[in-house]
Amino acid sequence: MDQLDEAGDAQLVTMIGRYHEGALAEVYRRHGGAVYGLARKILVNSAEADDVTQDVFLRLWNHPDRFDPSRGSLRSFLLNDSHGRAVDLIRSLNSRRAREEREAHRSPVGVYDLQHRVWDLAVAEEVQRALTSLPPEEREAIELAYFQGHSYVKVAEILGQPEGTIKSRIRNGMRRMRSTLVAVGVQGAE
Amino acid sequence: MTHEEAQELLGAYALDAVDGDERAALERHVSECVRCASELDGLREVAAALGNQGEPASQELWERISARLYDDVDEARVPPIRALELPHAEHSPSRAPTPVSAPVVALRAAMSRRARFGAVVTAVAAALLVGVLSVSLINANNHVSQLTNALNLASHNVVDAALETPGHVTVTLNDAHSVNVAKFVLLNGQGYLVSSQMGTLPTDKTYQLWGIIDHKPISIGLMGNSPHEVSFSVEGARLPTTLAVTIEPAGGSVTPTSPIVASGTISA
Repeated sequence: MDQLDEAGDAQLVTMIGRYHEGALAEVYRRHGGAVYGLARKILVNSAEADDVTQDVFLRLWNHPDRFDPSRGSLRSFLLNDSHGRAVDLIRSLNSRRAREEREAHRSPVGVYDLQHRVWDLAVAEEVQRALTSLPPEEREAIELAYFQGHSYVKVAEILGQPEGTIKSRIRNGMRRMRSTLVAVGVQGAE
Repeated sequence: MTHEEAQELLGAYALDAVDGDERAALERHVSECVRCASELDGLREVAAALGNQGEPASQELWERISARLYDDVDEARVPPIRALELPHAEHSPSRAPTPVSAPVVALRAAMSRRARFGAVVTAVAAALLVGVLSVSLINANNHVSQLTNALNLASHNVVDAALETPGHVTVTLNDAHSVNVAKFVLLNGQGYLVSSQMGTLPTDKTYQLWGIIDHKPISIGLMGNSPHEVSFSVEGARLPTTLAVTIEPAGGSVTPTSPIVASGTISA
C-alpha cells in the first residue's frame, strides 16, 4: 500500500499487526478525535480522556487481532473500547465531590463542537434525531447509562423503577434506534 | 442464564451498563449463542453511533501515544529503536528522501512483545526443528545461505517465466514510508527477486531476507550488499506469511540484529 490515506481501515489494522507505526498514526488521524470526544463527554476531565484515548490506541497497537472487521467498523470498535474504559474509570471514582464536579461542568447532550467533520455532523444529527424520537422513558434510561456511565441497576435506582423495566426500556430503545438509523443509512459509525 | 434473560440484557450490555457476575454470565452465553452475538453486534453499532462525537485528533496526544509504543520492550536485549533510511539506489532518483515520521520497529523487539519468545532459537535451527522451511545452505557453518552469486539461479529468463506461469504469487516489500523497494515472485516453492530499489551497502554489510512464520523470523538467506539476482527456496508444510529484510553484518546473522528496513505480506 503506497498511500496510507487510501488504505481501508481493515488494511491499516493488518499493517499495525506488522508493527507499521504509520498505519497506527493514520488510524489515529481518522478516529482519534472521535475516541477522545466520547471519553471527554463521559469523563469531562480532559486529562482522564487523554488517558483513555491513549489506552485505546496502545491496545490496538498491542492487540490488533481483537478487531474483527466482520463484526463492525473500526470506528465502532474503537468507540466501544473508549466507552468501556471511560465507564470503568468513572465508576472507580467514588468520590461524591468528583461526581458533583462532573455534573456541574457537564455540557448538555447535543451541544457539539463546531469543528466536527461533515460526516460526523451528519451522523450525529441523525443519531440525535433518533434519540430524541424515542419515548422519553427509553431515552432517559439510555442517556443515564451511556453518557453518565451508570449500570442499569443504578439507573433503576435513580429512576425509582424495577430493574427489569429499565432493562426492557434500554433494549427496546436501542433496537428502535437501530431501525431508525439503518433506515436513514447510518449503521453505526463509518 | 437463559436465552431470554440474556436477550433482555443485551441493550444494557452494549452500553457497558451490566456489571459483575451478571456480565460474566451474559458474556458466556453470548460466546455460545449466535443469535445473541449477532444482535449484540448491531446494538454495539448503535452505541458507537451514540458516542460518535468527532473532534479533531490532538497532535500532542498522538505524540504521547507514539512515545509509549515500545514501553514493554526489553531494551537490554534488543537493538535501539531508531528511524532508518533505506539506502537509495543510484538509478532511482525519484525516491528522494522524505522526513522520517515513524521509527521502524526492531524485529527482535517486536518478537519479544508479541510472540513472547522464550529462549532464543537460532533461525536456522528453528527452520530445521519445525520443518516448515527448507533453506538452501551454502555455508552451514555460518547458519546462513549466501544466495547472491553463490546460487546465481535467478536469471531474467527464470524470473520472467515464473511471472508468466499461472499460480505464481508476487510479494512487494515496502520500506518505512510505504515505498516499494523490492518485489519477489514465488512459484512452486521457489522465490526470485524481480526488482529491487535497495541501494548499495558498504561491503561489510548485507541485506538478509527473513520469512516470518508464527511471528518467528526464519532466515531465508543473504541477499548481498547490492541485490540483483537472488533466488531461494520456501518449500515446506507451512509457508511464511511475511517476507522481511534487515541489514546485517556481511556474514549474516542467525537472528535479526537490526530493524526491518522492508517487509511485505505473502497473500495466496
